[in-house]
Amino acid sequence: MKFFNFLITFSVACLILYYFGKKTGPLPPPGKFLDPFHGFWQNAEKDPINAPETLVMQDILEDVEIVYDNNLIPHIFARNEKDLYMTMGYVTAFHRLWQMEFQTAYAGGRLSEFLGEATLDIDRLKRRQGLNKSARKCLKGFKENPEINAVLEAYTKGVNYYIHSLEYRDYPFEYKLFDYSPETWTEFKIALLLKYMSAVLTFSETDIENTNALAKFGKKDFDLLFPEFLPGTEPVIPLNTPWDIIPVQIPAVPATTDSITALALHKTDFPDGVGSNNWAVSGKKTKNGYPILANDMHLALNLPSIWFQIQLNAPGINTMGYSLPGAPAIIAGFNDSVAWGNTNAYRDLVDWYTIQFRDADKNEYLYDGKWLRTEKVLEEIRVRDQETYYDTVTYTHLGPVVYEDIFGLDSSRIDLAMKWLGHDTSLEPLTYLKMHKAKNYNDFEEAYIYFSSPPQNVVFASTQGDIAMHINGNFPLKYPSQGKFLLDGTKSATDWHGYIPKAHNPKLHNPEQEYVSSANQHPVGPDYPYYTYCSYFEYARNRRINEMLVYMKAITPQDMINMQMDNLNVQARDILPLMLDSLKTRNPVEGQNIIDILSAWDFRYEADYKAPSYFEVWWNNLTGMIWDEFDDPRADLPYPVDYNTIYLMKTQPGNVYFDISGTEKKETLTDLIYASFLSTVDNISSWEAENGEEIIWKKYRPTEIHHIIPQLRTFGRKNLSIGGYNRTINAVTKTHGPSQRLVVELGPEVKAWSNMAGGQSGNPGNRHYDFFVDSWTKGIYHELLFMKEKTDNRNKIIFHQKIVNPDK
Amino acid sequence: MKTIIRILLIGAISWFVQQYFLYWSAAATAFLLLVIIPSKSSLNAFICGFLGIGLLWTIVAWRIDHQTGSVLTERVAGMFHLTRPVYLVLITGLTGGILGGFAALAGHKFRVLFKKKSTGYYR
Repeated sequence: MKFFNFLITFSVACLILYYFGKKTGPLPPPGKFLDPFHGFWQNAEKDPINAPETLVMQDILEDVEIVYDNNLIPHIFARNEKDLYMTMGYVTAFHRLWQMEFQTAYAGGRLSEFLGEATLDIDRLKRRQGLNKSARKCLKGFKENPEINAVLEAYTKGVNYYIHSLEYRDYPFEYKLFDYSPETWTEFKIALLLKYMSAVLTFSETDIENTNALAKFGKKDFDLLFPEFLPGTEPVIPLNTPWDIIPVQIPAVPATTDSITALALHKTDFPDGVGSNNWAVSGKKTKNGYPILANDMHLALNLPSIWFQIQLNAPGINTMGYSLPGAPAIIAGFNDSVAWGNTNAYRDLVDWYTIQFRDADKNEYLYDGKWLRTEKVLEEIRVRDQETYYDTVTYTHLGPVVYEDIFGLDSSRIDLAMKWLGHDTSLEPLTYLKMHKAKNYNDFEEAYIYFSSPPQNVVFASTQGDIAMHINGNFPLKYPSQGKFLLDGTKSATDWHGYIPKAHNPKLHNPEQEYVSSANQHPVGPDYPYYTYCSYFEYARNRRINEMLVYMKAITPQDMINMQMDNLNVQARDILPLMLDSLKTRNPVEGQNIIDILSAWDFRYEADYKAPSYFEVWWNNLTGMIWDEFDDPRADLPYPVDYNTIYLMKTQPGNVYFDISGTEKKETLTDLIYASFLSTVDNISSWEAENGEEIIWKKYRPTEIHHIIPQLRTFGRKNLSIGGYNRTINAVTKTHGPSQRLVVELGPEVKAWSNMAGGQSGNPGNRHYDFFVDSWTKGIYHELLFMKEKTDNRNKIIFHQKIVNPDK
Repeated sequence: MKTIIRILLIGAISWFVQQYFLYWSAAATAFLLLVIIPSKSSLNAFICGFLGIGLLWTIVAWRIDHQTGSVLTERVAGMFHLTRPVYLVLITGLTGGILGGFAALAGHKFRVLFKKKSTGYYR
């Protein structure tokens, strides 16, 4: 009996022990997680940094010092480059390890390994897009380049030094929550991260949607709805800039290109809000006589922040700026002599080819009348607590067959191979390693020879007084309209024909206008000799930037900061007067207060204004009525850009699209404006009744900075009081916006001001996790502590760390 | 009095042991202590383990919460739909208590296995 008693209680105790250490469903293992000695409690930090003051690293050659300023920005002082990048790896991992691993797990299609079945389709898509395969290929190229190889190796060692020093107690919070462990970092993951960024910034295409629209509306209407270039467009390289280029042979347009008419359900869902601004003004336009450079990069607003600010100092290098956790590079920043920053250079960099397989085995496919062999790659996707999932990806010479009967799309059953710029090898790390040390314009030009993807409009300024805007990257050499629609993969004529020579990429250096700017708009006007189509060009932010810069004089860095926070939407200014005038002819009985407020509005999307909410509701209703033809359950269709809608409203008010299809009455634009206004009055009063508050902009467009895993709601920041929208310079949407803002003055002493939608720490238990968020919403920047010596500005230093070699 | 000493001993030893080992070491401590030091009853054993570990975890968790201004606790509490960080402290204590209580009970039952039949002359 006694033994039986013992057995029962002992079993109960063991069961408790077991289940307290086991993850059940979404819940972390209770005992392990709540244990105040090792569990999540240990991630709560009292001080900004808790680290040993001296670290002993076997691989360090000479002593390294890391000083942290009061913004928790590390300044690394090393005596050689190997030590410098090793320390960068260590320091980045110290603050951002979980994020580094998670991002690369996402890119490599490995989320299910840690998160379970819920993410399996995401993993399958990533594997099918061939990110792993191209990262492997790319890494091979990196390893063959001694300069890149040395840095990647050093960085990786530094990351692994940190990982191997960890016990469960020290694991970043998310590992404990999802109950898994960090694994060894590899150089492959750095390559994967670069592919991930390429994917984030280049999957901006609507080929399938375009094909659907072409099938539905016909060529003539397609060109009306989706024109490639409209009057009033202001490209990155201003119109009428002469081209000093003898173009290479443009590929011939294939004889038959109209064979594909499929209406397929599919949406790439490239988010509106991925975009950026950058500009530079020459010393002639500034108060101090020095060039000023500005850059804000718009991405998904996430915590931990996508950016990690850092200063790197070693003999021959003194650079500071924004790095991506997981890559040994300052993506946007400055050094003692130059500054650089990016906006995404949109172009159609992904094309979809229909593949004709010989049979269901998919071992052969038709190409120029011959059967070519496919290559099959078996993707093994481990799934937490479940059986491993195996997916076969079929590769053609064009690229992986992403969509086929076993994945995506629908019954229309077309096999689509993806041709993507990111599948190529390239040497981007070299660009950044060279930019860290660049001294002048020539060094800048040389550094970007190695840059291929994702193509960027790179702004440049130097202490010598140069300013420049270069559109850098590899752009496929296309025949007109190539890749705008699905391409026929059975014919070589539709293949990509190499790339536009890099020397022919558009650029602007010290122009007479004394400024350069870009905001994801068209790169060039129609007189550029190569085809530059993309469906995602910007039409508003660029015009606002230019109209401000052209008149500004005696510019101060604060003026540039104010400009980055500018909330004026030029498109609202373009069209609202017409809408109000048209409305007046109908004398609406209701909504007079809305009309009054809109009539007095300055077109600014300030957080506490009601007018932008009124306008957006009205505009959505109106465009919904104008483009009612696009509401088609059979297929996803692209949507005409607002700039074109406005253009058509102004120039072709009698156009057939202003008639609502499906009604007997023949509506005019004025009818639509009136009808959409009436619904707007209704919408607004029901919104206000539902929410019990006035429809001010920040409430109607609530901005939330999500944790990278958005389900962790309490780990993000919501109810932010910030203005702006996707068409304003301060392009803050619900989930996207300026992830960082940087202003650099290139005087004898380079000065910089920064602002970030997050913080330096990746630990939600650290105050620096979201340290800058409030000042980010208010537009309060901090001046970056750009140190010459490690002993500078001692009063702003909060922590010193030393790394030493044990044998010295 | 003996009960209080047992609780304090379990808490103190567990505090020390847990500097090095994960949560299971708290259970091991409670178990072993009740094997070594006799307890009057099963209930008493359970209470010793429950309070020994439970209080320890509550105090340590509360201290961290207090020192860090609830920076992390607020987020974690929100995740579990708890309205105040202090509930998370209490749940932590309860978790430790359950862990310690049943381990101590098992330890007590183990000791009973080897206990000689009471003849009335002993003690």
